[in-house]
Amino acid sequence: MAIITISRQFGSNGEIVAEILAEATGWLLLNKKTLEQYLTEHHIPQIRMEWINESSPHDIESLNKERIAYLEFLKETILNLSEKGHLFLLGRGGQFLFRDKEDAFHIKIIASLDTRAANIQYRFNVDKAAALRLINQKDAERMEYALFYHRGDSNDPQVYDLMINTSRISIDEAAKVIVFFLKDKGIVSADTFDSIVEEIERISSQRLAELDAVHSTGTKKETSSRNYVFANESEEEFARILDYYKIDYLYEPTTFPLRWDSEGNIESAFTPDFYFPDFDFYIELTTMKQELVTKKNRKLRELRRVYPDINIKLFYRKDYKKLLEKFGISEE
Amino acid sequence: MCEVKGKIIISKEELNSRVKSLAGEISADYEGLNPVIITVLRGAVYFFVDLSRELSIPHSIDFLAISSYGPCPGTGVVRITKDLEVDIHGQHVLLVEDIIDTGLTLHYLIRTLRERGPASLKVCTFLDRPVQRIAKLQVDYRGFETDEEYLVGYGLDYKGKWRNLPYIMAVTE
Repeated sequence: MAIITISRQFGSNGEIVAEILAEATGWLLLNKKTLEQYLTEHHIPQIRMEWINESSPHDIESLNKERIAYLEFLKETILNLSEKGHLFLLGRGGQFLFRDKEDAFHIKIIASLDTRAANIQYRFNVDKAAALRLINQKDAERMEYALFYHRGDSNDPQVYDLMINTSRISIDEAAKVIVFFLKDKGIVSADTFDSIVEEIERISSQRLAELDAVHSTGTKKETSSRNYVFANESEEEFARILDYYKIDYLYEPTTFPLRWDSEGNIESAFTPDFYFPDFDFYIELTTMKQELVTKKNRKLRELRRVYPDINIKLFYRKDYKKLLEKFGISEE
Repeated sequence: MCEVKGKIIISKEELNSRVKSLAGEISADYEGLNPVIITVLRGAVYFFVDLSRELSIPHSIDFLAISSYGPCPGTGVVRITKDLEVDIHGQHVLLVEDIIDTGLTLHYLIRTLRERGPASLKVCTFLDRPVQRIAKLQVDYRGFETDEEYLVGYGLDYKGKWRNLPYIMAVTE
């Protein structure tokens, strides 16, 4: 059966196109999540699980044997799965793994840098500079992955049968173009074509509505009044002090993603407690004992690395205690 | 003289010399402007008076006081408890502080005074401790920058006392 590989630039919404296609056709979608699930069920060693995440390798030479074993294993696994039906393979260097397979088709989803940055900004609520940095980072990782594991160049247009620019056409149009292409290749039957296209339209509008809902919830938080529910007493007291001095603040308005997997799902994030719009400045209040703040410090370092333009200050328990003392308040 | 234990971090001589040099800078910048020099009661009066005496330009002075956040503030907000006597509209104003810490008080003061339409409004502080700064502010004249936690003397109190020490001491007990 056919293997349709979908490569995508980070931020081009290629993942969404693949998900819509899989749902509309009912075909299997192999992405990081489903491959991991499969590998877990089949007790595959941990190292191969890490490779699935399209990270670049650290020790290239010593990993070469493992690399070949990994590719053979990945190829075999996917081929076995494709015997049961057509499937979409998202990323994992599918365009190289199956470059010689007759009924494999290779699609690449691209977008302009502006579109990609706008998509990332919208999806993760970050500013443009942060979005561009993330794009650079992901592009470099994926390029290294393709180069090391597959000895291929994922930016080479010759590798693909079809390239789609989501700056010019919408997500549902992209999915429809792919289905039309697959119909032309005899993979999608003429009988099912119309119903698949209808499904694509239905799923796309549903996905867009979901995205809008998530986004509007995020922004609603920023414009609401001071009726916040604080995580603890210290934050509440701190907010009272700010209110007293008429300092404008927002409570936990932004979550900064710190690490993504290859599909763009957030693996680690940081949400500072207070944001001061007048000063463009964040404060994270920690009332944990000093020895327990190592994890938080690490996250803060990561935050500063990914978002070097962000002004953030960590108020440790001792700082906070001193602040309260200034106002004649002793900590309970 | 002193029962409070600590280490002198700014001696009387250093302090006097810095006040003189600050006054020199301010006198040069405000030449011909007849500024109004304002301070917030109470701690800053020591520095304020010394500074005023060293200024070589004509200027007027005024005072204000504001409430501060306390253990049982209820739902209140900061308010002016003693207002200025002079109308600062169209005047060049220099706000003098003893220490800027979180910046919360000063932020409120600057916002309030700006609403009165002064020709200019600048800030002078004897000590600047930015480590705990919450409200970002522009400090135009600063005597010393410090990150010491507990300071006493030259207007700064320790448990309500020792404002009159002629030097700045970092309290160790």
